[in-house]
Amino acid sequence: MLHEISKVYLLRKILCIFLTGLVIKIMDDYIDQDIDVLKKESNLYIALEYGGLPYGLLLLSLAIILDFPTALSLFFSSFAVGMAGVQSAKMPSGLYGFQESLLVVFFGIFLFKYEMLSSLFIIVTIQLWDDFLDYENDKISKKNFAFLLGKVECLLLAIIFFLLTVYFDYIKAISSIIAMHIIVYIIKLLLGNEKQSEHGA
Amino acid sequence: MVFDKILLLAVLEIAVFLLGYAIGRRVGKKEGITEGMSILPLDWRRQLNETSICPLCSQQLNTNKNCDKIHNRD
Repeated sequence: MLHEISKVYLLRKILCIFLTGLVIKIMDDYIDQDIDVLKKESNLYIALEYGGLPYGLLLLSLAIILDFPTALSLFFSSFAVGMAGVQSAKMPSGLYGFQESLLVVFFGIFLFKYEMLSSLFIIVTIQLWDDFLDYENDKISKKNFAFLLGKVECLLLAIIFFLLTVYFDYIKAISSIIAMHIIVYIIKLLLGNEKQSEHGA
Repeated sequence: MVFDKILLLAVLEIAVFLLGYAIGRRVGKKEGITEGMSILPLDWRRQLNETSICPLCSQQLNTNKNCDKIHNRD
């Protein structure tokens, strides 16, 4: 009985991480839509047109139903990491980006404790790993940790944060990395097909 | 429990390596720039003597004109 419960819990957690990953991807594409149009890169939010926000909220709701702390802590972490780089512009709340980021992190740690820490670490890992891979593509904009810190430093920091995530929650660490690659692959397949059909028509 | 300890030890080791690498790279970059700046004038002069082409403006020196003041003295 216990064995079965743990299996269900594992499945719920993995699915929750996958859905939250999709929500984070939609949110990221919403913020980067202007840059992606200029770079002529595929963008999930533009592809979904007006469906981006409702689908995002629906997926987040489903993820929260599956595993409340994991979904919310991952979402908070992605928000905090995304906002941490904004140091000069004021947000609609009247605060600077990094102030909002700090507030969300403190709130998350207050609510979820170690769950928030592991989520923060895995999101930082994914951000650093993504910047390491995009080193060549982001040479123009230079909004990239691999430029700020150096390529090897970026990779080593990603490894450190990944190991720290494994220390706190190994299921989250492994399934997040797998989910990230699956999401990127699915989007590549979907938007690649869309582009092909556009060219065909 | 043992696995956790190994993980933390690995994190510590990589962190120390990262610190050494980051400091070494930055110090090395500065040293390299200073060394390069001191070598550059000599290297330009060597290039000019070997090729008779100015490494700054790529203009060829007028080799037909004899500018040797010592040997042209009356």
